[in-house]
Amino acid sequence: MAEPSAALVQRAQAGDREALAELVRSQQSYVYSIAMSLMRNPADAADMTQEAFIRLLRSLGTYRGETRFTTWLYRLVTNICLDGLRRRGRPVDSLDDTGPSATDDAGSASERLADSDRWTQPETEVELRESATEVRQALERLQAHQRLALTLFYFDDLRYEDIADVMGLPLNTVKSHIRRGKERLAVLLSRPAEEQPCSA
Amino acid sequence: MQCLDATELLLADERERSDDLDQHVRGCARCASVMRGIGRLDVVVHAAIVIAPPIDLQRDLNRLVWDHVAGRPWWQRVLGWADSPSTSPRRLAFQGLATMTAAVVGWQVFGAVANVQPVVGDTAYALQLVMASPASAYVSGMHLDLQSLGVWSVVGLIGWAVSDDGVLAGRLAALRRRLP
Repeated sequence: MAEPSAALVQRAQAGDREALAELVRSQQSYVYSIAMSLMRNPADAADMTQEAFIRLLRSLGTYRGETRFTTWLYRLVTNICLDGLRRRGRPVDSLDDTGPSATDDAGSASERLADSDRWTQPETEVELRESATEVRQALERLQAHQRLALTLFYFDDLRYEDIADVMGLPLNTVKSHIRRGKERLAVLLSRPAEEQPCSA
Repeated sequence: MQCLDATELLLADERERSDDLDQHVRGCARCASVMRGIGRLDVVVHAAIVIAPPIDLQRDLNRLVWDHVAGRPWWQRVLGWADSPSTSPRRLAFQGLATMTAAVVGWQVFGAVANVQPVVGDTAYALQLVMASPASAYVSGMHLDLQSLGVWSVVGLIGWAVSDDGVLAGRLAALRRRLP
């Protein structure tokens, strides 16, 4: 469960050290994962994670509970990472980019239907690349908006509405990012037939 | 429902599944296979998506919390205590000491004990015994003056300084973490 209890947040806001430590401990993996999905570099992600928690400690008192705490925190992290990319002079992919691109597989409806046939092949059902490294490599090949949307989507208990709030995008755009991201991931993670081990 | 629509809905989210979709999947081997495949993808990606930060980063974040708390002004930490009850032994000891100090100072200022009229059971006799003790005689003989007030205040301040959130403990802890 990613969402901390209201009591823990209140104690942290009151300056209770144990509560602050617990809050940071419970969120550090999620914050680091978001930073990794945007920065795509462990050193930069670590810098952004530190900056995010410094900002969190300074501005925790301003959190009034209007939104879920995780939504508020992940939005903070996302903005810090986007600023970090700009400061480093690295290209910042627009999060609301919904158009198809050379790397996206958003083709025609018939192409997508044919593409989804990969799931119906018995051999591909058991030959999905499953190691964490392979999944992360596949995620890195997605566009930034798809990668961030999928990262948030697979966090525990984060809803579409929360993801839209974090990314500052309309709900349907977020759904589209997730759907296209999953399709693309399926393509990237499907093991080609020639790589399958010989059973003879 | 067409297979394309079913695939789109399956890719969108499990929670949005409708009766129409369920019915279609039950009667369509292709879409049933698509659903299993997407379910497998969800499991695989979910297991890999959350990345634990490196140990040194975790250590830095922990230090960040310590430095943040140590760097807060004393009045914010005192105010924070009221909202954050803690079971830390040192803090409880300090809170007990501070309460006793406040009680003794109040005793001297208002002379409240001298006016107590117990009405329950043997409490009156018990209080008489307490009042007759040498310690009570000493304490009740004290007069409100700057010297005794200062002594008790210093005791309270020392207790606070060595408590978890006090100046000395915070500084010492920060220094200890910086040492190689």
